[in-house]
Amino acid sequence: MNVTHIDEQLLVGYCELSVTAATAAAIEAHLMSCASCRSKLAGVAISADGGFMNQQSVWDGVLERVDRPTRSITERLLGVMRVRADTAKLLATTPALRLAWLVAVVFVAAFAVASARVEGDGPWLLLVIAPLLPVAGVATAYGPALDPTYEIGVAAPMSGLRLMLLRTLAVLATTMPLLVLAALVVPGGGWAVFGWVLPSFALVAITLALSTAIPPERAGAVVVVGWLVALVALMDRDRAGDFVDKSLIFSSSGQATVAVVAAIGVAIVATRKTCFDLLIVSGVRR
Amino acid sequence: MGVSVDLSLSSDAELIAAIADGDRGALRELYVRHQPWLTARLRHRCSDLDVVGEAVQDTFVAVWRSAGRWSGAGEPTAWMWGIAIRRLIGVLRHRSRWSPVSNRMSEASTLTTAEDIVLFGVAHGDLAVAIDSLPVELRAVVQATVLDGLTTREAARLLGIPAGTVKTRMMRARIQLRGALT
Repeated sequence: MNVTHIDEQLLVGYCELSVTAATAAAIEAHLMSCASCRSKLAGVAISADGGFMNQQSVWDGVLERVDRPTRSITERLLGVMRVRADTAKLLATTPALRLAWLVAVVFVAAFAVASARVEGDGPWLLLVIAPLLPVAGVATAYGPALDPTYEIGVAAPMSGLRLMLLRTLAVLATTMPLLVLAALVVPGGGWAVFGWVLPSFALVAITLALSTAIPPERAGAVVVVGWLVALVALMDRDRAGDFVDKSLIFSSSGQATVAVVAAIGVAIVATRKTCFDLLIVSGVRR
Repeated sequence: MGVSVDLSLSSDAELIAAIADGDRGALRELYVRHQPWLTARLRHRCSDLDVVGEAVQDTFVAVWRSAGRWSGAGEPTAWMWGIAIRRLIGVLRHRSRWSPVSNRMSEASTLTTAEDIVLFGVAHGDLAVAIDSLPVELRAVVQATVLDGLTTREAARLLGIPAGTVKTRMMRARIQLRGALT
């Protein structure tokens, strides 16, 4: 008698779970190294358990999961932070969450800090540049020109406001901490180095408010120019000290005004929020 | 579709290499060959068919993803079983409910005898009898740790008992087996 292969009846018993534990163990040990008994088992398995072994749904599931797109590192990180998968997908496509953007922010902030250290003329460059970085991030975060998922957004039945706010949040959450770090290491000290924080929020709010009327990248450009003009115009040249001391914007009353401007921007966004649904279409219309 | 290769003539190792290169046809062939015995063997470890189905599915998804990391050393079957039993534990932990292996083991031990084992050439008949005469809960621990090569912690998860219990049961099983074999 050929003892090197498993009897078919025994295989049926194995599939029907009606062999003893020791027999099952011996069968399993043999199956590991015997292809012909494995295929014999495949033959008897179908009849032995009413088709379960051959379930098409198991294979379909394998294929479906093999073909499923893999999630990026950003999406997985957001997933860990309990952000919903669809929201994570939307956030992850924000240009400001790409490494290139973050590297650029680090470079600009480092340049501003280095300039203050080398020239020894205080943190003025950081104060001028810092509010512009979130604006640039927000202006490039959505809209037909620069958003890679713009066309998906057009077809998606979701609020433009929600998308825009999500993206803005992503920009602020990545850019602001880097700028705070820069402010902490810039020489010149005191609370004055945080004079850019309120203008940042104000400029972002104005950018969003303008985006209800014109394409976001153009809104960003307008705000950048407006900020630089305001800096030059709102100077008290008679006052002593450096740029920061002379500028009205970084004085306490100036900061209060900036806060009011931010509130106005938010109010405009709130009243014109339906425009963000149209914004998505506006690129086509223009 | 480049040059069409008859996948049914390829060895398992060649199939795994092809899967590492993203060949879905090779994955299908590997599935056809190995899904039946993997499923059957997992059913001996867990009575819940849904859980077994999910574990089998997980196994082949894991094979697809980690085919490139397979060293090529050892039997492909051993590699796949290693994935499968750990995926089963993963699914069980995920569902956090256990389908005790002992349920079916208690009703199983009647039909076949040591005679069957001799039929396909297992020399250690004494050991077989000794294993079969172990109480169900001890036998499950022997199966998980000795035959499936799981760690104490993995065996604990599979059987739904604390790791300390696995150790004490293993000790009791060892004593009983020693008694039965001498």
